Amino acid sequence: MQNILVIARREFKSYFDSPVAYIVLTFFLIITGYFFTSNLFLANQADLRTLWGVVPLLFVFFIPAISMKLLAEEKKSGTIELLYTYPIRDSEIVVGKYLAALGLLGVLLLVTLVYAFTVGSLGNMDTGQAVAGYVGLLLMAAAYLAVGVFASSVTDNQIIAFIFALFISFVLFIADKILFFLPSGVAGIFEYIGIEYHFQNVARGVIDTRNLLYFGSVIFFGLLLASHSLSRRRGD
Amino acid sequence: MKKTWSISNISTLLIVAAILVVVNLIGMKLFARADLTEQSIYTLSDASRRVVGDLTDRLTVKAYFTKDLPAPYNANSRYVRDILEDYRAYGNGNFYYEFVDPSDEEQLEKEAQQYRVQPAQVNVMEKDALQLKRVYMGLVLIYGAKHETIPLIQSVENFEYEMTSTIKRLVAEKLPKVGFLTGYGSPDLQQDLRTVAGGLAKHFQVVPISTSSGAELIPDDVNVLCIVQPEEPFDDWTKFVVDQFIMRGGSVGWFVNKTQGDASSSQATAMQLDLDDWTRRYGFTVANNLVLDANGAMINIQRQQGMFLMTNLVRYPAFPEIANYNDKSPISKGLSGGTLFFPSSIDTVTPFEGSVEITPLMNSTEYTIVQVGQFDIAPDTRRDRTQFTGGQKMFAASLQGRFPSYFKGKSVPVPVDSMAMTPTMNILTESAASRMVVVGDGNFLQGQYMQQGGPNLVFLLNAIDWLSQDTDLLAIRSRDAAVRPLDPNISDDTKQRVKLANLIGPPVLVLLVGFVRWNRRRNRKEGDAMNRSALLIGVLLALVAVYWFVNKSEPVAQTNVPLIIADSASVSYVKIATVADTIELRKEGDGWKVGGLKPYPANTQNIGRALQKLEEMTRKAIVTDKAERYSDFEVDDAKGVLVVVASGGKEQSVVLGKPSPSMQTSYARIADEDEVWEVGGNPASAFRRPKADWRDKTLTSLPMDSIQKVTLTFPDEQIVLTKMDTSWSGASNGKPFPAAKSQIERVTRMLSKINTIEFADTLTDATFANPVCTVLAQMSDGSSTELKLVKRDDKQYFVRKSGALSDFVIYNSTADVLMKRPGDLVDKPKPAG
Repeated sequence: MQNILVIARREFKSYFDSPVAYIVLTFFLIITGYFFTSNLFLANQADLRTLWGVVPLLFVFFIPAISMKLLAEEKKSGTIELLYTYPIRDSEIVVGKYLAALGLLGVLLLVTLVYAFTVGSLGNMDTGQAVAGYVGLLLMAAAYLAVGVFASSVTDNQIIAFIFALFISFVLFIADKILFFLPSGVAGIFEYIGIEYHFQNVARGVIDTRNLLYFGSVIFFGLLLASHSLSRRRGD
Repeated sequence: MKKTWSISNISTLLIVAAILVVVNLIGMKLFARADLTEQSIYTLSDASRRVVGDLTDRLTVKAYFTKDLPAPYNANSRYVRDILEDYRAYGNGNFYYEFVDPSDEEQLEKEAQQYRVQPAQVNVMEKDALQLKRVYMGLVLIYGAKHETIPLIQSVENFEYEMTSTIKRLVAEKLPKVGFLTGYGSPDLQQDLRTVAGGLAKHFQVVPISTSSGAELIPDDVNVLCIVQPEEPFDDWTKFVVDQFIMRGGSVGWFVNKTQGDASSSQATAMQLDLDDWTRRYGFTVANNLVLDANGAMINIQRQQGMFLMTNLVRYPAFPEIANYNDKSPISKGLSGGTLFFPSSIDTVTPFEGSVEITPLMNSTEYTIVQVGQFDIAPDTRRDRTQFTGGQKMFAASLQGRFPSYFKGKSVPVPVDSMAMTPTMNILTESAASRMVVVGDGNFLQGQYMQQGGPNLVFLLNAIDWLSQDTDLLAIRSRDAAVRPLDPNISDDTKQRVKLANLIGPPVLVLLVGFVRWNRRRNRKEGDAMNRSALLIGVLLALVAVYWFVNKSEPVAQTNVPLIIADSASVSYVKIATVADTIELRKEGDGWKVGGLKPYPANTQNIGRALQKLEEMTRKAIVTDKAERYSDFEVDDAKGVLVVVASGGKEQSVVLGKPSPSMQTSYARIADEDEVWEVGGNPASAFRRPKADWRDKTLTSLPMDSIQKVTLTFPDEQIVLTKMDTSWSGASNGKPFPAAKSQIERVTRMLSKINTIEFADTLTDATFANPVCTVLAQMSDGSSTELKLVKRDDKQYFVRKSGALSDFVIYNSTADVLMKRPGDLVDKPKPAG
């Protein structure tokens, strides 16, 4: 546990020491800000539906960009060998790095609270629904990120890690949107795989154990795969 | 040594994956939810819990749902399952449900159809082809020997409402009660209201309610009280009883005419019901008028022509056929073709206290005549459509919310029954959630006018259904439909600032943090110039992007604001220009003048109404800004109405076009702007009037009590009527005769207010050389008015008023009231009835 926190803190700090994090955050916020502001007075509703609509797709592109370097870079530069010399388990490395990136996404979501306060001050917002929405966003980010960490663990090339993560994330994103084209027997399975189905269920204001279980499963399995693929390379 | 994916590794992963799948499958069956929404939208409401918790016997729900429904219906089926599970949880072991798929077995399919659960057709993907599939998405509730069906659940939005109301209906042992107030000249329940009572008896217990004996209030088990066409004024006790019934959450249906009409004798009289102060408290009054609508029902009239009795089919404007039902209200949705009989219009006033929501249900057409005090309901009066200038009137409305009590701050009145004691009780001052339906006609419920199965009966049953509805259930429904709009009072400036702050604020915040951190690092470790310039480039790019977005997002045209700012009270000049005519109206002192060579007095009412419509014209949406499309909306020079209004030295011009297909809105354009707007209301019709309509048709307007002396000069006789204090004396050619005050007051009442039908501008002095009668009214202040009457034809008279700019035309009936001979002025026994 101690090891995990040390790694997480070091990695989290390193995010803010490189320009990448700032550029990613800035562009993310410009895009959400644009959609949020251009729709706010048109829809004239005191809710954050615009945000819930646009963020799931944005995450598909932005989270792989945040996660791609986590393990791939260490492998490429060889610093991972250095880590191996410490008495640290592979899973601790994976979880530590994962938590660091999740911290960055947490900061990102904290900044977007500006939108929630704006809506709350302009109208009678359903606060409970907004809270659930943010819980949903964090869970969804965590799930996407677990996929990204796994992608970063299988290669030492950041670009490949990015594209691989983007691909899996996109599959999760699109799964529940293509049901119409699927035979009815498998439609239910695809819907369950679809990440936005679970997110929207939470974002409407209901925290349901079924959705929590889904997100938990994706996170757990993604991280499990990542640490397995890391241990495969130990002693390489 | 290089480690690769070992067999044991992969099998471990596969086993873990399988465990996860099974855990998820279990989780789908065993779950819990926390509803964080403020109104617990996704949780069973208290009302539903109570209803299902009060079950005393087994209630079974059989849900016929086809398995593997395509999206989005699969979500519905899951939602239905969740909700049914909630019902079961609160059902104290009396609520059971099961899901069956009727497509599995023919037997089940038959069973579903026996319960009237009908299959629906949906598109599904099967064997690589899009196919129409019969699916079932309905359920049946079985309670003892009774069952009720919800045949198709297409949206889940009011599923809980439907479920709970159905359960309530199944469980109810007694039918809800509908009371009819008796007395006050109201029609008899067994006789005149037989059809209505019969129609209601299927769903309600119909009971008479009397307030004339004892001091009891209306029993609590009465849900709805109907007040049908009273003809006598209400006493305070009855008002009190009804008021407190409303305060306790009772619903009231008002079916009230203010004018009593008789088609066979073509007579109409105004009724004094003393209702207005009372009902205004609740948000409405039935206007003291009779509304004629150009869209009258067809009736047969018989006429003697020479030797023959002719039967003609004519439109009778006093029986308006309802053309405009509100399709949004559950009461009037989908109705057409009902008829009202001698209706009065409804005026609504939102009360200051309480919270009352008013919804119109029936409106007249735009072409009406509003008669007040004087009525002409003869079926053979010919009227041109252009004479129907009253504008659209409301005939029926529904009101709901918390009504303030009329007896707030007053004491309990004395009961009508002189034997009864005045009860001591607390007066409730604000109602629970109550409902009202108001119709400006009570005739349509009665015998000869009410047709079995006709739209009038459907309207009435809908209204009673709506009135009797449980407030519990309403809470569920309103919860489903809760919308949360932003504060409407946000100024455009604030909007722009909010947008800018949300657009730029968050990115700038992030960049600022970055800059601070980089500065600190630089101090620690000099010379990291490359990274710094990378950050600066990032800042630059971000700001360029922000600029691009800010520049791109155009200001959205603001809607729901008035198209033009015209405070009707301060407007001093109006010009109305069409291709055919240009009319100028000028305000002079308190009144208006119609411009032209002779500045005739103008019809202030018409001007006021038109200006008010102009003022109320709000922007809904821009429909086009292309000049070539103006003619489509009739906002061009050829078909539009150009209206120029001047107030406070500022002139505004607007071109009014045609009404939109919904008739609720129309098109208009500010004269020197490009955009054509869809605007609320249709003010063009109020401006598109012939010149004569803008002139004042009032012939006299004198205070009746100040008339001191009336001289009627016939060619053969001069009658002088003189007022002494409060009594009148009469003399014919100088000889006194016993004139009756009541008869003379009919003359003076008419003299005090004469409305004419039209103008006669081209008459010469010769026409009035030998008047049939000259009427001279002398007032207590010394002024006098002289009217010369000349016969025009057998229906109308020409009138010349001393000092007036033009001559007028009046009806025989009006002239006859004025031209009285001594024989008419003596006391006569009142004709019976």
